[in-house]
Amino acid sequence: MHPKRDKRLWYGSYGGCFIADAFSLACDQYYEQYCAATITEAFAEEYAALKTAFASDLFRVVKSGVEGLTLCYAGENVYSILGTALLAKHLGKKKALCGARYADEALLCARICKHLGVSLKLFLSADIAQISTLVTRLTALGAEVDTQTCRELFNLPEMYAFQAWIAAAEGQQLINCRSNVGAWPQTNIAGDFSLEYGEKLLAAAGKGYGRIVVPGVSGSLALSVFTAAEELSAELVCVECDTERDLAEELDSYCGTFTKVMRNRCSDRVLAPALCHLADLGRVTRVDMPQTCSMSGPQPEGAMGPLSLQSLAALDYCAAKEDNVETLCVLRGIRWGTVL
Amino acid sequence: MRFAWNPLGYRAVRGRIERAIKQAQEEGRVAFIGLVPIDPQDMATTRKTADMLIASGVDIVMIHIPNRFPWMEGAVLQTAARFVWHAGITREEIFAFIKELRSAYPEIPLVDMTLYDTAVTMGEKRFFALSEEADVDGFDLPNCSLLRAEHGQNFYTLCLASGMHLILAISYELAMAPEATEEYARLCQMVRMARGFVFVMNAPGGQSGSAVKLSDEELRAAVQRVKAVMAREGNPCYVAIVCGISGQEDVERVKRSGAESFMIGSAYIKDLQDGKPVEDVAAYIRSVRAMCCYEAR
Repeated sequence: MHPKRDKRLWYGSYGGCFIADAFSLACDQYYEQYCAATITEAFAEEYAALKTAFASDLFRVVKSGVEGLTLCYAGENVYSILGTALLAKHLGKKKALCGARYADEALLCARICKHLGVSLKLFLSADIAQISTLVTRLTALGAEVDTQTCRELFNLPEMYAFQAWIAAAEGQQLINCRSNVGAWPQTNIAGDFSLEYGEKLLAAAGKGYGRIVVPGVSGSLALSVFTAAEELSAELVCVECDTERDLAEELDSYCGTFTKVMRNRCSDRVLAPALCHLADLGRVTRVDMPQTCSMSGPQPEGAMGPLSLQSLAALDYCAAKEDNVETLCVLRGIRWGTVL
Repeated sequence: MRFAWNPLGYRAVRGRIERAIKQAQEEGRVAFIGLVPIDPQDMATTRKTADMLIASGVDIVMIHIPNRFPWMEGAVLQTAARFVWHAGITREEIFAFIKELRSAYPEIPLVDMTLYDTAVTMGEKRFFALSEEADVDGFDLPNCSLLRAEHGQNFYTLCLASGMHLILAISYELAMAPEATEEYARLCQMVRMARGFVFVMNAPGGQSGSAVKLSDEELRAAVQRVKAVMAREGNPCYVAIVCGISGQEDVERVKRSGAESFMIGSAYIKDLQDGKPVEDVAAYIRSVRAMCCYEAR
């Protein structure tokens, strides 16, 4: 682990700057604890073992039928979940908190916490809270499961986890599934843990690409790949695609982190602040794709299962390019739950 | 707008907040800060709630400007925020309402209560200009960082220049920080920058309507510590208690703590959300106002 403190993302254009002074000390202390814990051998060894046990780093790289287009099928980047859960153990926290939007991340979180012997409270999104088999399984794994809050109030599970964390930050750990939630240093720590995934993905995909295209919802996967590719000369493109077409971009703060939010009166999609920063620097291009024909078309070469909406949009984006630039298109599977 | 000259500096001071608390003290009671929720039906209904609060004896009126991500609020205010968003009520409409309220009540202190996010999504200049136009007396922006962030310092400077107070909130942990620690340094800084009054949070996390509250001893210790630091720093402001205040015992705890004021919001907003007649809520507000008096005086 190499913690990277980026002051631009601390109290700068984007980042975790909207936090009461009364609570900012807890955030500072967490960052210090994180830096101290992650440089120990004990943490490194256990983190490596966790990755072996719980993370699938299998990237399937195939040449597509389109000339110059390579596809890389990626699993979920769960390193942030693994890392922040392990921190709970190493920092001696009594309880871990997590807001989950997808069934797979909720389940993973519960399995890891059981494995680590860390007690867990999970806030489930309104959508996955209705999957009774999931709730039963999470409960069997020892997690305290909140299925009500997101159904009764806002469908923002991460917000409730963050709210519970800040109320007693000293004894609790927030498990971050993505890099778009929370006051500094939550998004930075999530980004730090996730970076290794991007590095492995690029290593598996090989070199020589003039363009790297990654589908984005919160942009956490894109951020990990693009951070790893920042020094390369390749053009970096994050393809976004929403089911609702009337979303407008606003600047807002999500649990203390200042970032861009795509929203209408019902939905919000929150971008990772570090990705917004890279986009502002001109290093990353964000592309908003309409829903197009690929969504009803056949599965692309090498796909193991149904792809996410954004992955199909990324494929469309690549196919429409006729500039013969050697392109790597990262693709991921559909997940159970709503988009953020 | 009436300004008074402050001998401590160049800034203009509206003074309504100080006058309201001082008047409450002279009447032998703690000052009562009430919160006006935006009614999702329309602004006319919101106005009725505000009129009821003022007629029932609230000394300082806060207006809840809802946020889309209300992470520092409890379930009741989150529900209020959700209703307002779904109703499509705009922030401009809310500011128009505040302006109307100011016209009707030129002497009542009015405070914008929202997250700093509101200023960001609207644009800070616009947020500030609309507040100034409505002649509010201050802001309760609990996630606006004064000590760490440039935007917070800039906003604070704007407030100083215009005479509007940025109300600061102090947690129990910060209030009780041992001397010669970083926490204590932050406490001193906040106390030096305080204007009007500071909130001492009665609940960890600063969530409104919290069921987890400080004990009697903890609350008193926190208030007395903050006051002692204020005296040492030469900036004697008032102290108000916020979060989890609802009934007689809570108000008694406020009085025992030595705070000059307290805020109630969620306790009656829940009743309004549940459809309780405004007359019944008015009776509750009047009963709280009656609790404010120091019996011994």
